[in-house]
Amino acid sequence: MDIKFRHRARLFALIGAAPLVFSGLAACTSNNNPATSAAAEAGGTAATGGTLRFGVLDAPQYLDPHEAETYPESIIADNITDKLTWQDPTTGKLYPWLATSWSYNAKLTQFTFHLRKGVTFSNGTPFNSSSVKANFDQDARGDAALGIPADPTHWTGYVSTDTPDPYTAVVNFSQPNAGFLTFTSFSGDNDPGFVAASTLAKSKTQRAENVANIIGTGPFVLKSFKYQQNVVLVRRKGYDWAPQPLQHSGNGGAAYLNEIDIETIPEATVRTGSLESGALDATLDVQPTDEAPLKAEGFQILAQTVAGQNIAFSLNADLFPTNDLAVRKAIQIGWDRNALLKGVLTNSYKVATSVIASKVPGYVDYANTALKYDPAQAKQLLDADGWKVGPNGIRVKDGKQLVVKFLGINNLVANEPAYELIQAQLKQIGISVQLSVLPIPDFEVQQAKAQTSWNGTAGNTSRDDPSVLWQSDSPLVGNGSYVEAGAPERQALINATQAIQNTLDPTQRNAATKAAQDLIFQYALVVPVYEPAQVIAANKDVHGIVFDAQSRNLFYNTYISK
Amino acid sequence: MLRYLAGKVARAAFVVWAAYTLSFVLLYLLPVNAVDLLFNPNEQQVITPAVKAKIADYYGFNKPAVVQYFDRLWAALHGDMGASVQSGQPVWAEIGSVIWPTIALALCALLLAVLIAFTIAFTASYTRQRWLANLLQSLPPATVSVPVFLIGLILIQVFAFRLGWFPPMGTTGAAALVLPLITLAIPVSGPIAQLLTDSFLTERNSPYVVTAIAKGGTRRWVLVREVFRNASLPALTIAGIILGNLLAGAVVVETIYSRAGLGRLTETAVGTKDIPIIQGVVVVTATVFAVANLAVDLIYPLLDPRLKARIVTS
Amino acid sequence: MTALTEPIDSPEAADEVAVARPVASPLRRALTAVRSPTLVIAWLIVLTVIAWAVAPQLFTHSNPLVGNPEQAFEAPSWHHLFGTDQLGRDMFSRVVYGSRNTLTATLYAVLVGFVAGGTIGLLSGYADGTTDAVVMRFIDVLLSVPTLLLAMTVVAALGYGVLNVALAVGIVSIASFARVMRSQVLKVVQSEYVEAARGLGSRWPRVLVLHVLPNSVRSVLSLAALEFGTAVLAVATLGFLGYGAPPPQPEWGLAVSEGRAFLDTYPWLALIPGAVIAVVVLASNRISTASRGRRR
Repeated sequence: MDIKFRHRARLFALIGAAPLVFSGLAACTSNNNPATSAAAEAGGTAATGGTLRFGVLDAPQYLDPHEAETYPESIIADNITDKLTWQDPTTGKLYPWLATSWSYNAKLTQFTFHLRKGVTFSNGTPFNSSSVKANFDQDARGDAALGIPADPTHWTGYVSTDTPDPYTAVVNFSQPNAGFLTFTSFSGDNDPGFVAASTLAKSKTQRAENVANIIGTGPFVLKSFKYQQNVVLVRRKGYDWAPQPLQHSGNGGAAYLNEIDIETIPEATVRTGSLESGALDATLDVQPTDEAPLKAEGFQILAQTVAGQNIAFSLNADLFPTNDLAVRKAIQIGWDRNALLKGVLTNSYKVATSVIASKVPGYVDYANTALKYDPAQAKQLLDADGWKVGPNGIRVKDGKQLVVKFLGINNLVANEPAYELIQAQLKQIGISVQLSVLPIPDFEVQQAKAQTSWNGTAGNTSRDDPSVLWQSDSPLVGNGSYVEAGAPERQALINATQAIQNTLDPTQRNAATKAAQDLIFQYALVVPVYEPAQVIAANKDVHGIVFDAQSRNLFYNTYISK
Repeated sequence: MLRYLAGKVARAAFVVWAAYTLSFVLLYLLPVNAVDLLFNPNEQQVITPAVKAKIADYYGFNKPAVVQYFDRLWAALHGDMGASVQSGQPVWAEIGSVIWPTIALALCALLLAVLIAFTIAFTASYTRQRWLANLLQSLPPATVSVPVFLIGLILIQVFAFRLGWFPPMGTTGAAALVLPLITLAIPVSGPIAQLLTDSFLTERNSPYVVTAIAKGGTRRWVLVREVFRNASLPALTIAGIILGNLLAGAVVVETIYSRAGLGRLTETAVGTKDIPIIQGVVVVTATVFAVANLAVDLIYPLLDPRLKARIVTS
Repeated sequence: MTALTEPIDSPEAADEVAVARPVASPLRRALTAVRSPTLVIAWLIVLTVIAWAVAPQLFTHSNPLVGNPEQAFEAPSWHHLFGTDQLGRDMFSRVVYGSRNTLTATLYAVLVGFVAGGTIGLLSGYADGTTDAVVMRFIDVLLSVPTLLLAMTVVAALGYGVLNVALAVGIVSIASFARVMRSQVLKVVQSEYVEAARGLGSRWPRVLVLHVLPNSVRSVLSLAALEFGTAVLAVATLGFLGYGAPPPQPEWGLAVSEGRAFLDTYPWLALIPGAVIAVVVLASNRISTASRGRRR
């Protein structure tokens, strides 16, 4: 019953909504790694109490963690729930959280988690293996009667969760799912954090009506929610089960902050101005052009790129003219990615050098190979394929013009200018790009008919695991490039992406990931643009804001110095 | 008298019903396949037509439009406008949670607008400096020519960023209300100032004002009293324009200043194609209009003896 | 509904709202123009932006769609009158080319309101009492929803785009055109020559087209002049909210919207296109006021 009553799209969710973003300024400099600095600072000097006033662009709408879509929704989900594991944002390594240890069978179809004892939900009920089973069952299967949608992608092949004892949960799949292990730490859309049995029994409407109906085990508890205004989280007393690398004892194991006030502020200038005027302590979604002035005024700029599939155009291999390999190749190499650094992305951004972000395990750098800017070769490929330059500069073959239709979302400020730059550059090699950069709902409508009407759709998917390639690009799953039956690369792509799902051996998995990237570029199915990032500006008294592996923020270690 | 009243009430009810119906036609029949909006585009491939049909069932999208219309109208008559497609919250709850900030903003802005308008009109009529009078009289048309969003951006730029007198955002504190209030009041003050100026100019030369002044009343207060008495009727007639300006202004002001309210809810709902919410907002504003009209219709006869006589005798 | 939506019911308001004054003779208008420098300036402004829309290439050599990323965010200068944007595109050329989108939408909007509203008003005013009453009640409904909200609803239903915005703004203005036309028709119908034409046995469509229409259309035309300014403002506001031309196309309201993210750092990006909108609306309102003989 893959029923979904509400789109959770925003896939782009990820960054989703988090527009403005980019600028991995501090992110990339080692001395500014937020996780390590947080952990370091957490050691005793931290001040307890206070309220963190945190600005975000998007208005959270629906606070059920399992349906978190936008960036602010995932941040809230992150802070009110806990997950089985914690993924280190730098190394990608998994650490214990609610699971103290885990194991899996050789086929990667069965995962056994040993649970931490003494963990409770904020309504006092204990967290145990039946909590895991109830949450996973509802996530994977949905509940039509309650109006709760299933998550068909992350839970592909889910069979059941067994509970041999209260503190052991065994999750079974019908097919190998290597990506599942990191998914237990995931913080993007469809967050697998745990909510209480009482929440799971509530209908979608009941969960929407009253935040008190949403109960987790996390370091914070929902206090109030005013749509389009703010969401207030309050510290969970007695919390003492943070992810192992973040655990501190400063406040008896509980978070330092009394409250977090997440303020929705759609206007970029107003977010910046509010930070400057002291109405906010920190704000997400910093306008790239505001970073330097803010830094000069003494504010901290904290940033981290988002791991997963980069902002990229998935080219439609099933639609003229992108069903022509030469056209796809020309689009892949016919524009200068580094030009993005001049007007659109500042030095704090990263130009994409593969399908996946550079920090995803198994990433390979294609900047000087498949993605090297080579307009001469692009022209040559098109010439050889019979695309001759027409009178208006646009190439023509068999009386048809070389016009490609690209679809994008305007939820990140850099998207539109980046795509317009690609449009301008491809025109110089004789490819006319018709560009539509739309708000998310309109994008969704168009995406539904993309296979027959769009040559390329742009977006990204956050997930710090190479399985993101399987999720987005496997012809059997996301099939972002519409590689249909009859396409020569179809079976190879199915096999290559499934191979990533079949092993957890680092060497084998890296090799499989490289093979999949090679294949995608060999057939020019995905044209990467840039690596999105999340950027926070904070006043100098704010410390210990942690970015997790998907670049969502955890405020367990955050404190405000007096 | 009773017939007059009944007629007016019936017309008000008709307007609300017709607004509901028109918005239904516009929003439910014209747009794209609503079901497509409910899925993650990444997962469109995974979702079978059978599942989509089930969703359509759940929302009633697959029924004939006429059946849908009567189902929804029946529910609406019982106070159920459906739920937001985006958040799952009932439409009334969502509108109810943001309507008060907008009402407060609008009322304060209206007060400020009347104050501005009066100052302009009074000074323009009272001053003996011809250039000043001309300048002031050219202000009302100007206020409705400048886009509200430009006024807002200039105020933010000058008073929040350059001078730092007021915060640029605001749901909290009185200081945060200042800039949005001014932004909203300026366009609303235009038509009011126009009306008052006309009224002042007419009154200044009317015989009873001349008489009153001759009797020793000060020029100023005689003018003010007479103007307010005589401007009240036409003022009611432009109440509709003012209400419209207030709501339209609220959409832009709440967007620019990141304030929660009905205007921003509408803007978001249009952006996210949240059709039940849009319809709810249309019905709410049409109701406000209808009720305001009704009130005006009832007050009118009290102010205008001729009309009163006609109604009573009819 | 009397007072708010149908002021013509009340004697005081009739002149104020519904009935436009007779249009001044061209000669008198010309004389007024000479005596009023502001009117001359207003005409110059409006003619200039119309020329921009008709032949933008005469006014700027820069490509509005392609910029030089090396020259991003340059302040206004002799070289770039309005500065450059994030992609190094010349803002002056984007405003000049943008006038085509904005003014085309405005023109279509006024046309829709004029034709649809005028026709409804003409037929309603000429028809019998019941038909008239029913039509006018529906016009009441249009008037009972604030114009911007109505336009946003139409856009939500039709989708984004310049033409849809034009249609939305046009639909919104139907009500006022219909009301003005109707009130004129009601007057004209009672006049002696129409009575005479009827008495001579002319069929009603003939009377309507040959006698009623020419004598009532004038005031509606003068309303169209006034609506021009209002429509520019409405189109720009919808553009500002992001419902109009899709990027990279230039459009005035969109330009302000795109620039506002840089308000703190590069204020001219939003403020200059905003000022252009304000100046054009002021100018066209000045002209329409003059044409209605209401000098202020």
